[in-house]
Amino acid sequence: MPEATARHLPALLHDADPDVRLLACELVRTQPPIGAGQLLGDLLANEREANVCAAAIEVLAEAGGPELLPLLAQCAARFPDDPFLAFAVRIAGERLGAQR
Amino acid sequence: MVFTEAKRYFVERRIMERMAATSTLRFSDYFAHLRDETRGEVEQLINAFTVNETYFYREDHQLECLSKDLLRERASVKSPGDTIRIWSAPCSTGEEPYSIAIWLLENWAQVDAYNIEIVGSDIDTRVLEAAADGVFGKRALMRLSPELIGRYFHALDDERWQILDDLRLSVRYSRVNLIESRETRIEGKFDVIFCRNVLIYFDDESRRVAAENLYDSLLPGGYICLGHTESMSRISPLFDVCRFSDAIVYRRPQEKKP
Repeated sequence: MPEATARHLPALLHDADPDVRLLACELVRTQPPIGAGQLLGDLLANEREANVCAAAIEVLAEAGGPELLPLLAQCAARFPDDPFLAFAVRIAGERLGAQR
Repeated sequence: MVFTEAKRYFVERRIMERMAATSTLRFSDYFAHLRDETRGEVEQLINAFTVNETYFYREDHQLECLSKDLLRERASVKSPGDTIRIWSAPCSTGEEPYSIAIWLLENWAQVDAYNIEIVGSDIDTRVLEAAADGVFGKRALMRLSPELIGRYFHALDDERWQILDDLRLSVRYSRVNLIESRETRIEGKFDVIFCRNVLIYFDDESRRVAAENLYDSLLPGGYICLGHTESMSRISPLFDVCRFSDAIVYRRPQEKKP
């Protein structure tokens, strides 16, 4: 499954439809952690839909590492009026910051 | 297990199958049959609802993680000769516990230094019987090389292979419902639990109860592997998330020293 999914993920994460990008974030969970962190880190840097960012952050809270903390902060700053995203970024930040 | 309206057909079909098997023509008669505890029909109905699709070396990145990282860490708190307990729950027809055994024999250099105990548990008594028989078809073996099949199985005919007795008898099987703490507790504490692709079938409350039972079944510092689409963070805050190179797994935190 991880191998079969991997080749489709870059295109799905750049799909024009935000619902496709959102669901693709969940598929990234099947990937080895380093690859997952890279895929979703790239997405998070430029994503304009708050819901897609939230889906990516949920997966990154497990798959990502502390190196993604600045990216999470930048994402929260892009959506200053979205309290859920601020909450999701805070929780993810706590988890990533506490990683071994 | 939770069945929404979308699963009505699935539920109806299995009830019809059980009605046919018990020669009951009306649902009210079957329901009375089901409620008669002396007939054991509840167990048969549960068996009819379980999904038992699996194969050897499924999601082997987690097996890679087991031999490369999880057992290295568990062995670091033990001495040679100590027991390392691994639980496959649910184990279905045995592909997972036997995969773990074969993987460790092939890939973990310290396999002979420890007493590895593998337990397979499932709620479905039919699959437990099949697991103990250890007979598998081509589909179940599709991810194993011919060399591995030759080393660990003997052919019964052109379509069926049985796992060698040494391996078959080294895995213990038991019936366990993961949301019944009195059943999970009997199995004792484990170093590593594989609980893959079952929590997705539970409702939120059952998932939480199962997670708590699994937590109690782990030694402090023990690990649990879920299916690749499952996330413990969505179910329970009890576990630490551990990001290894091959997989994300969850750990029961070490107990804090007073």
